[in-house]
Amino acid sequence: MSQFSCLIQERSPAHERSGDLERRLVDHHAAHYPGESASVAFRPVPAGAMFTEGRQSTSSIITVSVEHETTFDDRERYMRGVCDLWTEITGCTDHEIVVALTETTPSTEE
Amino acid sequence: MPFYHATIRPGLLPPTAREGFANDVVDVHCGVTGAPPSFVHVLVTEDTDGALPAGSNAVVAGTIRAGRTDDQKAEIAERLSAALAGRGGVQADTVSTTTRDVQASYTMEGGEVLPEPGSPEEERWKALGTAVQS
Repeated sequence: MSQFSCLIQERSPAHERSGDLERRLVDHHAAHYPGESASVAFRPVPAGAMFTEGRQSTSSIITVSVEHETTFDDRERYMRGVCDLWTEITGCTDHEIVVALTETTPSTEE
Repeated sequence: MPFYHATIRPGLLPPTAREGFANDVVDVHCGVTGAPPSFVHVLVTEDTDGALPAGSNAVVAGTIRAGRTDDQKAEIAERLSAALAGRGGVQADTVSTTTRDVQASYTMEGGEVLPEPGSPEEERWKALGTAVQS
């Protein structure tokens, strides 16, 4: 199963709307890879722990592992979709989102 | 990207020192690579699980774009270990830093897929990062 792991700031819009984000991420993955499910985990970071450009960060870092090989265009479309839903739900800018995709081998476990 | 995660011994760095270290990372990474500061992310967490090796005060794990030279990566590791050790008042050899390469095209930030280091697209991307700073 593909997995999203989301590093978010405590008490941020992303934290407050993590339920909506989870639903939309799962839907986005299923739309991109029909019939596939995904799991989503959030890791809220307290104030004073994460910094961007040396200052308190407002960024979210979303890593996603997909059980597929991807082309550049495929990855760009997938990551663009994550950015779009994230900005729509949280009201943040593209500059407050990092999306990192990794390719994994499909699990053979039952 | 880059993203640096420092796992520190509990109590090693007070909040102001954490921010100071985050600025050290910006100075070192951008000084060595020329990357825009606005893309440098640093996470500092305390080792509450006893995961640090015996005798270690901190480990720093960096995820950076592939394409940096071995000399650049070695300089980053050495200077970051020294910076964190200095902030914490401990010996530099009790802090270790490693970096892991990832292909740029597997990351999107600022709404764009990251360019490869040294590519023609990178200059435009650097300008974008500079615009974010202002």
